[in-house]
Amino acid sequence: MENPSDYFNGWMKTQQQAYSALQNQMQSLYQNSTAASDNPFTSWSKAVFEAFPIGADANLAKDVFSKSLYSNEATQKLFEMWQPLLNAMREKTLDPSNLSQFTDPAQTKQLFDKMFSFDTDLWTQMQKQAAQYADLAKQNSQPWAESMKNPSFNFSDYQPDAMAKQMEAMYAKFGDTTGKLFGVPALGKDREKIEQMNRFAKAMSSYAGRHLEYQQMMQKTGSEAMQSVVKILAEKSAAGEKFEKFDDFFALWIDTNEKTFNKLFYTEDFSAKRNAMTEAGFNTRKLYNEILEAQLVDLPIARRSEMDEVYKLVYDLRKQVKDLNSQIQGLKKEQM
Amino acid sequence: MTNPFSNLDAKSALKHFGEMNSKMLKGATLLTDIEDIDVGTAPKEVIYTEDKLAVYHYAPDAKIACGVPVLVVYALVNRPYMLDIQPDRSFIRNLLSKGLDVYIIDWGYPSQADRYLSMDDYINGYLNNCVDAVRRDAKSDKVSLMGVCQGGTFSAIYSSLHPEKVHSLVTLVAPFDFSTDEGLLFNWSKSMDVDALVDAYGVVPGNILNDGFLMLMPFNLNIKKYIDMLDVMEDEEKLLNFLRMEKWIFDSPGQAGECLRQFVKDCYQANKLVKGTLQLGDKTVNLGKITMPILNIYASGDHLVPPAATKPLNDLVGSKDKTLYEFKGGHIGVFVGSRSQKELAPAISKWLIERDAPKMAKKPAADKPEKAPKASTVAKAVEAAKPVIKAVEAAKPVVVAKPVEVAKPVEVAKVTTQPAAKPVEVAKPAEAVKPVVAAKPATDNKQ
Repeated sequence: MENPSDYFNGWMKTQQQAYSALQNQMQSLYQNSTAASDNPFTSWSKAVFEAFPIGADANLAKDVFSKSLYSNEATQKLFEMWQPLLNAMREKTLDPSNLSQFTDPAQTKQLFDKMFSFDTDLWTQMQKQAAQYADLAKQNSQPWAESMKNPSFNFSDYQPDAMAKQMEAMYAKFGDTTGKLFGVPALGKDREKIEQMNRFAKAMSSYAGRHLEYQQMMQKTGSEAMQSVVKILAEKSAAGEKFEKFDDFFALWIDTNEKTFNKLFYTEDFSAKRNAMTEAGFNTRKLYNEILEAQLVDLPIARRSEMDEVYKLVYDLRKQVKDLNSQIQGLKKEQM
Repeated sequence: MTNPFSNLDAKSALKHFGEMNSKMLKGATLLTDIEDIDVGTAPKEVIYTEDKLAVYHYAPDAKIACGVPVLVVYALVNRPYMLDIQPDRSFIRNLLSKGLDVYIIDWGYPSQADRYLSMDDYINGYLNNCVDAVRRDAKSDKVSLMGVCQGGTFSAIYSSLHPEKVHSLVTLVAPFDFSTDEGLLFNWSKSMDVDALVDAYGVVPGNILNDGFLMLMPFNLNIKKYIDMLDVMEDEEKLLNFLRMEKWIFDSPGQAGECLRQFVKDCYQANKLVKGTLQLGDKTVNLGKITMPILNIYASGDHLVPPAATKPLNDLVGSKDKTLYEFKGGHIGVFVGSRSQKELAPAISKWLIERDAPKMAKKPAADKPEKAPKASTVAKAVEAAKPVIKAVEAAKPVVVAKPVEVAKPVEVAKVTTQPAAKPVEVAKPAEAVKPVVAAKPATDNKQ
């Protein structure tokens, strides 16, 4: 379906054809109803009227109809639609020529909108809302998506600094926009689980950010080490020195890297970034375990937190037993 | 600028790669023929077990020259068979050959059920019970403690709290003053969030600690070591030496969370041991209460426990007889290097023998005939213990699911069934105990 109006136009066209055919048929049948008692249509309409004591108690009829068709709102509305016609037939006040009013596009559309909950106002409203959602989504995603469109940066190039800055910018934008969705309070019976998932997603995001910082620092240092190796090679080359064996170069490479990284490892910046990354990783793992536990709660297995309680109990009991054993030994010695 | 890579001799490099490939092919055949990597082969027997730990007594290899038994207290990190890694490079066999009566604690592999074990449990609980077990087995009032790395820290703490049971204290490459910034581990630990680590894991996997150790020299330990391995791949003995060390490095027990938490917080971060504020249970640790003779050994090239962390012990103890010994080498070289075999182990033996007290040896401290205690008092205590014992028994099927780990029967079976390997002469020429070139850099990444 391209759009709602296409749907309704097509539907209306079909309905008009159906009503026209029905109008012709009913007019013909109604005019000849007394003479055609064994006409299949009269037999059918008689059975229908008997089944639905329309007029005596419309609400009861409605209920019966609903129940007989396993009740749903659509069928009730369908009944409401046909009830005037059926009443008119029963009361013999039906003028088949008036059936044309049923084919009035505006009225039918209104009726069927109601029947299928197609509220045009609502639809219009929904269209507006959809547009608002689209705008919101765009507002949310565009900043961090656009932050990736840095013409001076190319992912295929090995540029640790540029890549880190790019990713940092993306994460920052993401946190200010879409990332906020993770902080929206959850509702309903699964609220706790949803909040757990949100906390986990946040922790993952935090870990990814810390990991990126750490990775960037290591890549930068690796790059510096490589430049140092190249510099040493250049100096050797200028001095006319030559590596006789690959081992010699390998030793130089290992030694230069080790020294360069060792220098980094002694900095406070390294300790801080490494610890921030591992801490974020440990927190993520902890939250992941909590999610697992929440999912496993209905299974007949002991969960980690429950086992920890048992371990604690056993630990305390073991200590008590050992203390008591020690007291017994002490008492035995006293008796000697 | 001249292309810096132009000074690489391409022909020579290609030849070298060809030789490497050739070694790899030969080594592959050897590797597939190796069925077992044997370690810790000095004959020994279990004399005591408690929970996951076991105390072993090594079979004497010479006439006992030292009446006071020596209890080796290894670190909780890694396995104690480092001290007996192979017959011709065995610190333990070396001590035995000098006439020492040697016992060792194997802490075992903690499981999640051990996550609440604290430093107090390890030192005032397990270590104290092990000391008592050795005293009983050796019929000696006292023992000499030989603490290795973290085991040295624990031994010093124990000696300060129970000086009446410790005859002499030997500490090897053990940290005491954690305020130093010389070692990377000391640097990193200061800002480490150990709470997050312990809360996430309970029992902290050995691999996490291993990652930290490998980071100390990432290029040597992750790359060069394995490239160098190619040099020994044609020689079965050297290859086995390498593989033994490799096995030890990655045979890393998990760490009981609460103990690790306190060790990092109180020692690495707050330096409470030196400040005299370390609390174990209801006791405050005062290193000044150590009055027995001490031999404090540090390694000048130790990048794990720098000398600055080890040496201050001698200024903190109350002992009059105290020796500071410098070993020229690295952290693991203390145990497996040729200098260790030739110099250090004999020096330790000599130091202990010199301080042996024949008058106090062989006293059947725990073997006195026991009088029957008063029935009423014992019965009362037993009665009080009953509900607790019952509760523990009830919990057993759930939490003590791996009793096998308690005594490590695999190792026990191995050592009890093997004939005693030929001991190494301490004064043997250096070549006999020369460390494998490739294995050496692989060793110094552990406590």
